[in-house]
Amino acid sequence: MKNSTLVVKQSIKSLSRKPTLMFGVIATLGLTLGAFISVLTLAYYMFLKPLPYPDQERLVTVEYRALNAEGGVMGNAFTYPGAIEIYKNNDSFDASALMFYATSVMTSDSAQPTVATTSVTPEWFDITSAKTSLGRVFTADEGLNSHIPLAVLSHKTWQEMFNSDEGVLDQSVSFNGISYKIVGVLSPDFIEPRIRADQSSTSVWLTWDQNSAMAKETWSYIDGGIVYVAKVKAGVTADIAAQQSSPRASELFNQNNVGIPFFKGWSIELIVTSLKDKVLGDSQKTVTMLVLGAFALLLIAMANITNLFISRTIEQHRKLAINAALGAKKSQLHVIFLLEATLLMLPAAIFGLVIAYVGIEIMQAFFTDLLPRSNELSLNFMSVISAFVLMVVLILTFSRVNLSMINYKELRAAIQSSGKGSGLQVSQKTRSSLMVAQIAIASLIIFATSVLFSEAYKKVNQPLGMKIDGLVNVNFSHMEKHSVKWDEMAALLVETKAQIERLPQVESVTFGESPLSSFSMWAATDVETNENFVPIGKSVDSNYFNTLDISFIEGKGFDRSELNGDSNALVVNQGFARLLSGNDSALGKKLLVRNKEHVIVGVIDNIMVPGAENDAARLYVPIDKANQSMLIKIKDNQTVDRTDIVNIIYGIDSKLAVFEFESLAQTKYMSQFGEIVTIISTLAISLISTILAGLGLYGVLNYTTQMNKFELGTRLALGSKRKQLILFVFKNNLKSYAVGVSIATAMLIIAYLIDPNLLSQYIGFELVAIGVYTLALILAISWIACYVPLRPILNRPLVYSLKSGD
Amino acid sequence: MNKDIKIEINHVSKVYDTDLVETHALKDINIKIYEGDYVSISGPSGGGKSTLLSIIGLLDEASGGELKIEGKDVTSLTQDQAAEVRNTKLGFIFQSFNLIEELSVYDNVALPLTYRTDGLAAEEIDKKVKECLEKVSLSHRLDHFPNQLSGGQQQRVAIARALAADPAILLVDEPTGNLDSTTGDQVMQLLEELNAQGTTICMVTHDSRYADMARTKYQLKDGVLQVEEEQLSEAV
Ligand SMILES: Nc1ncnc2c1ncn2[C@@H]1O[C@H](COP(=O)(O)OP(=O)(O)OP(=O)(O)O)[C@@H](O)[C@H]1O
Ligand SMILES: [Mg+2]
Repeated sequence: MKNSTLVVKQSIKSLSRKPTLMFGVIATLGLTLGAFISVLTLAYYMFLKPLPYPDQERLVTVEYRALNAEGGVMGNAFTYPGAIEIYKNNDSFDASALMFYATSVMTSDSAQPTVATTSVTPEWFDITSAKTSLGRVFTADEGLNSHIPLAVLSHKTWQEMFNSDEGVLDQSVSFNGISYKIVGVLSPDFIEPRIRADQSSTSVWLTWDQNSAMAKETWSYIDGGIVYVAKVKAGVTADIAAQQSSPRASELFNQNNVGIPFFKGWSIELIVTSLKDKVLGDSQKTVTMLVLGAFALLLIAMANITNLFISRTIEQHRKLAINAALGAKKSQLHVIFLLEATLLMLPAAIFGLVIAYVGIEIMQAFFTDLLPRSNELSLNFMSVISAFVLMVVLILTFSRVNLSMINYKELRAAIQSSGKGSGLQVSQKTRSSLMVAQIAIASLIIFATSVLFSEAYKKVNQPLGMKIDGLVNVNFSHMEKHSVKWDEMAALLVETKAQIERLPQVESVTFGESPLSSFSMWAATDVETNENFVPIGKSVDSNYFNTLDISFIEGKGFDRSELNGDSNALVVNQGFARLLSGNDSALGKKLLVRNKEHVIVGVIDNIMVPGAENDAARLYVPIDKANQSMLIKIKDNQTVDRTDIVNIIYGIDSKLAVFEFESLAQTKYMSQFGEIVTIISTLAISLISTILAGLGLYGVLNYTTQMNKFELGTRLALGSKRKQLILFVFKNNLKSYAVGVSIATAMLIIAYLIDPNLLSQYIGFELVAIGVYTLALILAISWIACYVPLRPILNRPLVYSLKSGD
Repeated sequence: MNKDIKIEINHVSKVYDTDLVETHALKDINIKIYEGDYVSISGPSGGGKSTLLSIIGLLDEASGGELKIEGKDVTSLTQDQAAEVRNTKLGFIFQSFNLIEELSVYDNVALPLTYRTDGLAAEEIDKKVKECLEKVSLSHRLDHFPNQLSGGQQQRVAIARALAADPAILLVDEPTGNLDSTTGDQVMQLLEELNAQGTTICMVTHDSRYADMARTKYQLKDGVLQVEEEQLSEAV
């Protein structure tokens, strides 16, 4: 074509006469492309991009797993001396770093904020090649047993808590009564590997020795705060490293626990996992699902748009025929199609990139806790490339589809005929396959999202077996944690509790940790049978169960008189009672706990704690006078906030600090954030695909209805009733429905055959119910898509449908 | 004449209210069509012929007046009631045949019978369809599809379809408009034969030759209906 600018101008002009078409295409494709590119970018980080650390393929985490004589997992955390021993003496690692995760009250700040601190040995900074923007990191002689408290701030902490003060290197920060000299501020580029899914980013890095691990000398206590990161020697795999180090760890554990019958026959297994796998966790599956979901949405959108293009081409049939009659070559028609597709796809791709950018921002703002490496995420070269590739694919697809509809020879002849040429026969087939594709994809998406939705919904709405409304959990700490005597501390806590109870908004206060916070593991031995158990437990007050409205199956709770540290009363939950005595009463059973014989005085219902087994064995002992944690029951429509509590403790002892203040509802929300996000996103995806598929089917059927207006009008003239006509049209499309739904079912079966694990966890009545729901929903959409285009034919006087022309 | 009145129209008018103008397509029309009659309506283009036929055929609503079919008032029916009347009392023959492309000749003719509310038995439908195709001499084309037939044959299928339900009246709009003159003549001849056998026909045409074949001739001009002169004198 000689005058190409003229052609471009003509195309733009002809498109701008169809603003809804243009807007529809750009919006639909932009949104779905954007969603796809953002999850693709995420997937790139998860699957392809190496971690941003030197020799990242050699970085591993080491875990310490305790197994009993039968091989049952009894614990999954390091003993403190066990970690130190491996750190000092191993053959598999070029470098090892010990880390201790904690949340601590920064008492050097008058607001007493709680921040995430991580105590590390200096190798940590080498392993992650952390650079500083101010000062330095810890040096090799500031490691284990150097006993000089130092701190390095994260860049964000320096900005937010120290106002980017350049003079920060002359200052100190205090945690738990220890003052740490600040030696450096990390560079803003530093990306902390999120080794634990529930871990917030570290605000302050501290030297190892001052970490707040308990029982640093005992081999019989495991501490979940300890994390071990290492760089394996070149040529050593994770498995080999685990094999090399496990026997010695086991030996040391047994040597040091010799004579404790509880640990008889136990062994230690070191679990060595590549750091990348550890960081990604089990979210690879989630991201795969996201990619597939976004891709399916994109496919539905593509089907919709193909249909729009087809309709447009048919609309232009006459114009094209005139062009052909006037001598336009086939290749020239192709150029016109390509040009039109490009004019639509280019803005759609640009819009898609904008959406992807927004999507990534959203992921970073809200989902860093759920999606690993989203803290590294940014729209990158890969995203732009994929947008470009997708755009080209779309352009070629659409212009190809258009071209395939046109029989050039017939086009030239078509100028005489009135339109219903054989070009339409082809397009009827194309249209049916478009409908089939849309129905199949939409069924799959709706089915999959409904399954995920119902799982998550059930989890969130499962009864807890207790009432947490109006309850707030408060934790206190003492600045001289390690030197203050318990009797002294208990007296302060009792006074604090009494004063909180006097607040007019407060209904009652009970000592005891939040039932939603993690329980610690206890060793318990049945005195009769000598059988060992590792239940999880808490120390609680006499009105703890009452406050939480947890009911007793048998027996009772603790008396006030038993809260003195030498009671031998014990309350267990149903799950533990079952383990101990099957279906018989567990009351009166004797257990050796903390080297003292205890008697079970009560059995409570199981409580449901998000993330834990419902029938996990739990035990409760009475508190020794007080507890650092309290539950405050607030009166209806009243509030208590952190400052109310801080004001009270200031009046009691300035060394007390509020370590944590959180309503149980908030704790529950946070712990079920993943499920809540699943609920929202599956709802959104299912809604979007329903709408897209509905629009797509409507588009196809609207066009065919228009095409067949004459025939439908004739049927009405011959006496067809409204209902008969609607049914007739619906039946005509039932085949597409049946084929689409069958394809979807076949794909599910194939997916199941390839990977039975994918669905087996769901299979059951519910799956059938969701299947029926999906079929019904798609049927309803198809019905509406049939009915709506028919309405004008049914509702206007028939004579309009019988007129030829419009 | 002492015959039943098939169609009775009293003071029917039709006004099209478009954006700019009000078109009075029909003004106070009064007609009685008797059993066995052959009525033609002719007149200039835009005179209102098709509009009138649509109103008689319950394909459009009149703006005013009254319409009776076999003595029954059908002026304001629900859509489904109107469909039933069209199905059982009215036979349509359109200028463009309006056969359904995907259906065979046989099925096209059977179509109105399948819409009947009283639910005819298959044998009965079969008998009727064959009978009607016999009448239009197309018994040998049962399994053909419309696009395998000539225009004249297609129009004959349409006539057979219109006859299938034993309608009170055949409503015919420009039956020869899409046909060449020889084929058109054949179709007209067929209609004449049907009328001779007792079928009541109301036909719209602007071809005066064909209009003259009818017994009762009307002129429709600017929405006003006039009986043709010669007929008046005949009646006197
Ligand atoms: N839907 C409509 N909206 C507005 N005006 C209309 C409509 N249909 C018909 N008319 C007008 O009503 C008048 C009668 O039209 P009608 O189609 O009945 O004429 P006709 O006699 O059948 O003409 P022809 O011989 O050309 O078929 C015309 O002036 C026409 O413009
Ligand atoms: Mg007309």
